[in-house]
Amino acid sequence: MIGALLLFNSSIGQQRKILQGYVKEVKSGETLQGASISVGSENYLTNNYGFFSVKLPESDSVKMLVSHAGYSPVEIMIGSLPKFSNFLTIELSPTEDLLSEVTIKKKQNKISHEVQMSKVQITPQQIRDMPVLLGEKDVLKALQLFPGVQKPREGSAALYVRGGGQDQNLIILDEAPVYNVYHLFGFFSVFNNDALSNIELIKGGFPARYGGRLSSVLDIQMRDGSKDEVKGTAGIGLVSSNLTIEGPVKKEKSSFIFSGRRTYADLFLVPLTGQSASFYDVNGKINFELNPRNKIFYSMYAGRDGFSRKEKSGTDKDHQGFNWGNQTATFRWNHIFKRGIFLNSSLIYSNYHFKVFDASIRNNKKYFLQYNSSIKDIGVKSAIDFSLGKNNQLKAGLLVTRHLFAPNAMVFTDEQIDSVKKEKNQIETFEGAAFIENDINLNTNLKLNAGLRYSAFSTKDKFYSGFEPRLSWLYKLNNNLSIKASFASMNQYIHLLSNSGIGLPTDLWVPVTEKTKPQQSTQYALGIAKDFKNGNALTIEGYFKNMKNIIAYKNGADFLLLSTGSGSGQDLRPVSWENNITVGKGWSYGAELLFQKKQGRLTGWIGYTLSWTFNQFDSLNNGKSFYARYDRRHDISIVGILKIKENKTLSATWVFGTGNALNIPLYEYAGSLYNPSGTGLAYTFVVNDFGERNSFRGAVYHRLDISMQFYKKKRKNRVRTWELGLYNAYNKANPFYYYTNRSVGSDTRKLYYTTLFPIIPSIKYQLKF
Amino acid sequence: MKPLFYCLMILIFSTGCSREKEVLLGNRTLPKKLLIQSYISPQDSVVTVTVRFTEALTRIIHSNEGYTDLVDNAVVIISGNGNQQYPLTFKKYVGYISSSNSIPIMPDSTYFLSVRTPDGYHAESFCRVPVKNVDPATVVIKELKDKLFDLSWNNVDTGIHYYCLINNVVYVEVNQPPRYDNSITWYGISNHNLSVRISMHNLQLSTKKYLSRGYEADLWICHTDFNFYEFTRTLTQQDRDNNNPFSEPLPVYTNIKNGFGVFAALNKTILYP
Repeated sequence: MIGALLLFNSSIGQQRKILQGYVKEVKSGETLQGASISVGSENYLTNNYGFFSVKLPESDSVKMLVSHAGYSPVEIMIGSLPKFSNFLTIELSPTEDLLSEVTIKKKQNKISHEVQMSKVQITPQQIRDMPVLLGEKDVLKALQLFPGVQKPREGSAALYVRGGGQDQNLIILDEAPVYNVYHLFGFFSVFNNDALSNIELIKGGFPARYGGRLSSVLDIQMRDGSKDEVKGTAGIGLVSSNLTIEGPVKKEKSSFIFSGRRTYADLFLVPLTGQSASFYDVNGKINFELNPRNKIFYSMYAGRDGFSRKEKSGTDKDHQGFNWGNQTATFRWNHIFKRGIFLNSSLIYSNYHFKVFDASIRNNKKYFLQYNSSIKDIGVKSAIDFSLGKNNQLKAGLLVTRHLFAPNAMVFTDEQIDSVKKEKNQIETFEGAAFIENDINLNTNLKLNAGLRYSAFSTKDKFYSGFEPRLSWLYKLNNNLSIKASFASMNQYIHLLSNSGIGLPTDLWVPVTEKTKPQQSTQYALGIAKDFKNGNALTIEGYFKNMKNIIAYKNGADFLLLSTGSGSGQDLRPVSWENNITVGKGWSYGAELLFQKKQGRLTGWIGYTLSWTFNQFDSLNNGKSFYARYDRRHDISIVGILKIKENKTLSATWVFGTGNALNIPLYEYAGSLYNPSGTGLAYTFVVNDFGERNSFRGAVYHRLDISMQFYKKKRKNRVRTWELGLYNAYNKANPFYYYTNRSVGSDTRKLYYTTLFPIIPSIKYQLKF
Repeated sequence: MKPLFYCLMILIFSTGCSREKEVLLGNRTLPKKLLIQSYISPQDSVVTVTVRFTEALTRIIHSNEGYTDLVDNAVVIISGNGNQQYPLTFKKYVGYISSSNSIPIMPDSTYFLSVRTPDGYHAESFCRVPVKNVDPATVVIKELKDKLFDLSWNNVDTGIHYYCLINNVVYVEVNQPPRYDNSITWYGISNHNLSVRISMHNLQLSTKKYLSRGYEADLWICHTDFNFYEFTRTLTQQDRDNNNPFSEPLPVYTNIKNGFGVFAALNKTILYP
């Protein structure tokens, strides 16, 4: 295998003290984020864009070791580098050439040397190897298998991180926030694995460069595309088909990637049932290396989901449905200044929109109700990254975003009562932040990442701002064992109103107002990290998170924010979302264990979470605290990926979780209105009583998924893959939702749950060309 | 490879999607509770309290269920401000009753309700009768267009007060008890003068069509306590939103300690439009 290809640009700089450059994948030219660079006893990591800047020692006999998970490490003698070059491109070769490597030995970054704690990194290749529902590879479902990350219910791709809600996750794709990350009612995520390069989730100890959400940061970067040759991947699965094409625009200087997916269930469903559920998404990226110090990138994502139902009876017609989708775009410029300062500047656009409609014709009279909600962002961001010396790395930056919210726009027409209404309410706000963070090696055993973020949010009537101190601390007990601690304070200026029902995509983003203050959190974490000699790693962490000003719908609130008043449709009107919500607080604490086996034919991990999550709202549950819906006492994930032979991979995952805390009807009784006749009771309703909020604990959840992948190398370096999978291999009846019903033939009422997915086999064909 | 492939294809096309499973509650079964309902008013001639049991997830309730399964052996006592206790007696198909002569219901007075059953269940509640009723002189009824009226009146006092509108249509026959057809509407208001837009289709139709055939119609504006307002609001809204997928669950209000239901008070103003 190729070891390394070193490209020097000796025209830049004088005699070197600082060495800078990029770490890339050989041939494709993809930059590698988080690659480890060891110079003597000092360790550095490449930044999010594969850039590094290291301080070189005086001695030429010192070695520089460059490594990254999944790539063969490279060792460079400092003395072998030209004296008058300070810019270097290092290319690493993947060790996962499927048809030539059976036993994989990788040099791994040592987890006990990284000051950042509470971090999960996963590669697209790991995601490709893992079994998943209907063969649809999914980033978010892979992340659900790590401790501290929980899913809400069967099949859902949603993430609940350390007791935080869905809206508390900052999910960014090439720096653009993605507001709704789900396809098909949450069963799949919008991220197409074939188009991705780096996936990093941070659950706590957030560096100051991240902000705007309380609970997690999921930073996903798209691939740049191969700079070497045109190639692609095509796949056919049970749910969707996908196609990815990438290649050079100008060899070794510029490349593109385009990737798309589409479902086809609607093509069969519409003629048969009149119902349709479908999605598509496309990712695209193009980049140009203007010169070694200047690169520009443009990346975009667009996706849309639709669900609709049509019915016809004589001249009467009904058509109802939902549409929702995201579009993002990022234009990025990377510049390296002569003194090794790395500048990343971006222009960012993001748009999420949701629509629900109900149209009908009855007796030749039209009825039409359409309800829209959207959020549009446009922002600029600029950050620098430079070395102040071999023990001191500094990052600083600024960002400004304009948010345009349209929480409830409505169009209503009813010819029966001769009523037409149009309502649109737009809210313009601005969010800004400035940050500075410093990676400092105080001595060989003690490292710090200290940072400060100042964030601000301006609406028409109100201005909020706050300082957010961040601190991560590492103390090495020995070369393979360290203690870590972190503290992070966060502010969140936008809220998500999300329906707590069975999962309709009823996401409604709203800004802070005078009445609804910013969400705030503080999180403390403490843990140990241990690297074993064979490359395996163990982390154990405990955390406590406190959240203020979180919001929830009031009891009985209607997401559509429509009031029908006391009369007929004439009174239909939007109501303020602020009147529908209540403000409270939450807190979560727990412990997480993660053991990762990173080398050998069998790789994988075991994760365990023990946690408690509580909420308290004055106007819910009579003001008493209650378990959050996503409170889960125990959560276990076991993931194993076994390279059986050079052309066969067997993988399995087993998950176990305590049941969710649910709000279900525990009692039923007849409730009567006042009877004006004087005696007895008037009209009677059947009443469901839910008891204490979320007081019912659902059944435990466990499931085994298995998949087998068969690779075959074809002509012209083509590789075809057949993947056979079994979801829920032992057919566990896991709960999806609960309901009460009378049992057949008796006068008793019982509690039931519906299961969604029994054992489900899947098959997928993929061709790399 | 081929047999495995065929087996998988058969599995794919034969696998159903959803199943339902009964949840065995085991020792999580909840105890039964008392269901108590009573509304008191200075203008009513009787005081009625109904007492029933409801059991967790074990018994079907029918929406027309009114007076079956009434508990007939409970000790039901209403006591007033002066700690004087008024026991009520059970009447089949009605509940526990007493005439208002026996239990004087007075404005601005607090009443306590206690229910004990022989098998040890005990529930209690209290309510306060609103101090004033609406002054009929402040009521303005203005017809906007056919069958649609604006109705307004002055708030009884400063502060938050709750009102209920009752449209009562009574069919009167010689030597027969009156038969009632009524509708009920409720509003929660602040300390501003009321201006409520209501649709009174039933009243309009009833007065025009049926008065000549022995019907009488009236309109009550009731000044209620919070218990009346909140129980009625949550009861009807839960029923209305039962199948609305966009709606959050709504618990029905209760002020019965150790039970369900309501013990509420109202003070009526009766109008004859």
